[in-house]
Amino acid sequence: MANEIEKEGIPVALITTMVTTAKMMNVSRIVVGGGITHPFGNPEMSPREEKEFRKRLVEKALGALKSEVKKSTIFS
Amino acid sequence: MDNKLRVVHYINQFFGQMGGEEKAGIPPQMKEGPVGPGMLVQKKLGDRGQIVATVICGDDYFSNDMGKAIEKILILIRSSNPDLLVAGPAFNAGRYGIACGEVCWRANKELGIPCVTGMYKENPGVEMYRKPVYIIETAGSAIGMKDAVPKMVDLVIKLFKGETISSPLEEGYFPRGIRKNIFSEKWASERVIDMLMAKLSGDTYMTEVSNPTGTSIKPSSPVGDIGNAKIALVTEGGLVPKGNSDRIEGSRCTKFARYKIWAKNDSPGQQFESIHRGFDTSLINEDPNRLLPIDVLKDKEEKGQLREISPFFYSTCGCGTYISEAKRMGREIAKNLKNEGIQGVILPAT
Repeated sequence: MANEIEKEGIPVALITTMVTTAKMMNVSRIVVGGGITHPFGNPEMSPREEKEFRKRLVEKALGALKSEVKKSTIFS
Repeated sequence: MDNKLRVVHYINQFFGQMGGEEKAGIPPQMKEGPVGPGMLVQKKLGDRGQIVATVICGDDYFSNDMGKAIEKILILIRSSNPDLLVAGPAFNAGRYGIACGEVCWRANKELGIPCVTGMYKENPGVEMYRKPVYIIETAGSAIGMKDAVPKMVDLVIKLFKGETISSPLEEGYFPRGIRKNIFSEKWASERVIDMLMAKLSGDTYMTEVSNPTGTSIKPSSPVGDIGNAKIALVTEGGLVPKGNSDRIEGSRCTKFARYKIWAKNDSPGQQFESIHRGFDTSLINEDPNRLLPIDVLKDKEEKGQLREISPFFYSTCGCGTYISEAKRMGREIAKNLKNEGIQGVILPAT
């Protein structure tokens, strides 16, 4: 899906834990997520910490969208 | 014709010696006996079969109105009462490849006869038809005719006789996505160690389960100014309003939907749930922000760190979903996003 959206000229930051698979599928901008069952969370943390964690991850995703990439790139 | 098999050969206007692109509009027609590459097919058939007719159709005629063309072609094929059908090979000719695939697929389905064609791996006809149709892998141009035709003829005769068809590698056809149980001399554990040893020592080895590979795509240009961008969320995490009134499937999903995002201080866990059947959804159900970081994005929007978060998110379920379905949904979502003036997408995947 990410690739099809990219084809329309809209950059996509794919947040995933399955980085190898995403890389194999040649997804342009891959951001390492918090986990399979909680890509934008971390249930081990307190709610406040978790939101801070989420904020950092969102910033990473926005950073990926801002980045010029030539090929499938992992933002970790 | 004694006991010889009756063979119909399908080719395009070019191989049918009618002409080049200027003749690509010619409607389906039939000639008696072999024409063009049919000579080689006939040679390879030898005493086993006889090309009783060659059906020729212009590539443009076919692709302009596939529905009409295929019906006419099927009438011609049926009138020759064939035992089997050979189409092409089409090498890397796209329209011709699709025509060969369609003719084989429909003739096999409707006349119940074995059909084989041949194409180059990048011919779009391969992706479209390799599952229902036996397609022999050929070179990129007609240089590969001599290699392709014997494989095509041998395979179609095997199919006719009901003989066991070996693996794609042995027979030379494109994998059809079928897994077959076979007895092996060695346990899987032994085979995997053999494979690993071969890999480590640089020997050749063959995987038993090949992974789908992504076609390489050109990354799109980045978002120039995030502060001035409209960002949307798309997910395959199966997040839907509680009750799932759109009936998004929890596995092998074929549907996606667009839902309104929640407000920052809402309790989204009371409104939304994930219907994904491929992971434990309890953490996301407890707080859907763990899937779609709407709370954080709203903060950023308020602070002017991004212009706008789209008021809608797109959701489907990526659990055992066919790649073809995912691609189709991706295309449809992309079209919508474009119409909505979205400049960048965050796509959390579970």
